[in-house]
Amino acid sequence: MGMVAKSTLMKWHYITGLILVVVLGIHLAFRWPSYEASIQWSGPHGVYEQLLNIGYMAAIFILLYAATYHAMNGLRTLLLELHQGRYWNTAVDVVIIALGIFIVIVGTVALVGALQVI
Amino acid sequence: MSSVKAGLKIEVKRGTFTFRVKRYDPKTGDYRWSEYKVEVTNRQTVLDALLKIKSTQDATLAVRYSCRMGICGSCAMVINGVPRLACETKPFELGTDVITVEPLSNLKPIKDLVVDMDEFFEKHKSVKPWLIRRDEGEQFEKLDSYYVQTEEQLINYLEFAYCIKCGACYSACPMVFLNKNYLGPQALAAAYRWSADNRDEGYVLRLKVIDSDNGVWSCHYSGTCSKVCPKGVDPALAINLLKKSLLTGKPPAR
Ligand code: SF4
Ligand code: FES
Repeated sequence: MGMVAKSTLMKWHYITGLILVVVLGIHLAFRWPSYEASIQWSGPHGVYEQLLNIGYMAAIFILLYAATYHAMNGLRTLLLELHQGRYWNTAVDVVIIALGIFIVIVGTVALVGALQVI
Repeated sequence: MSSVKAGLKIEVKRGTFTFRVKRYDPKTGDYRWSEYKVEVTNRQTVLDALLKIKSTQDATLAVRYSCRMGICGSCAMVINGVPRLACETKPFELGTDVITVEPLSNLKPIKDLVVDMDEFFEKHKSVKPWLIRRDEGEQFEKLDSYYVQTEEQLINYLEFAYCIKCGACYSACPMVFLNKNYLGPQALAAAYRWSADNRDEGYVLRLKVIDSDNGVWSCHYSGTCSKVCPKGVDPALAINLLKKSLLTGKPPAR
């Protein structure tokens, strides 16, 4: 990712890290007061109710995108530190971008699909 | 033994130390350990001891040195597990009878305690560690003009200008060990030293290397560089000040 300054990538790494603290907090808060109840389809705290909550669903979408960026950038940094080679950087960039796009597409399809059920 | 000069006493103690020296053999590409017992005084350094070994016990022992007074940076080696200047380290002050001496890590060995500094100096050079002015004509032709600097502006970067390029920080850095392309603490401290100099206008030109995968972002702040520096330079601080500049978009304070 030579065309993007590393500081830009890192700025977003820190920003998404902070966003993750908030949205993960929201995600965990919705397992409250009973984890069992929160993963049931129906019921007062069940999945159906969560899908109806616009704020919660927005947090889950943000969680998907922020976590993907944060994880992919972290993994890229790690891989570049673990090994160095002539084509390694390019190979890592291609794999990371492809994997990131794949996760975002699958995640979005799954979330939109879930929303269509309600 | 003690000598008296103008009424002042210089206390000279003598002691015999065992030096375990890790030696690189360029013919076989292997390391081996040699052991030497040598008597030194409390006024002498590890470099003095190695030179005594060389002249009285083993002339084949390769050591690099020049100034013998902590200025040239040639004699850095790993002494009792820590990169230090051999000419500034006294056996009596190490607190062990057996003293291990190894070549600097993270650098290719040449022979015994001598390592190849080329890669280190290439990285240093890559940050353009010199005064850069937009107007080169004015800089190089109009030699009558001075670039004014106040004491405050000097103090701003002075600590980082004390670097003698010994490579101790580079040898101690775990990230250099992991990523051979990482510029390392010395080069990045030099980048900060010049970018924080009010007379310099080259910060933007240095960004290409310092704001890259192998620049400041490879530092994970282990802080070992600053711990081992024999000149009191704090490369970890310089790296973090550069990170701050990159994140805020403001060049180093001058
Ligand atoms: S920063 Fe200190 S340890 Fe590193 S090369 Fe300069 S003088 Fe040596
Ligand atoms: S010989 Fe010059 S610094 Fe040690």
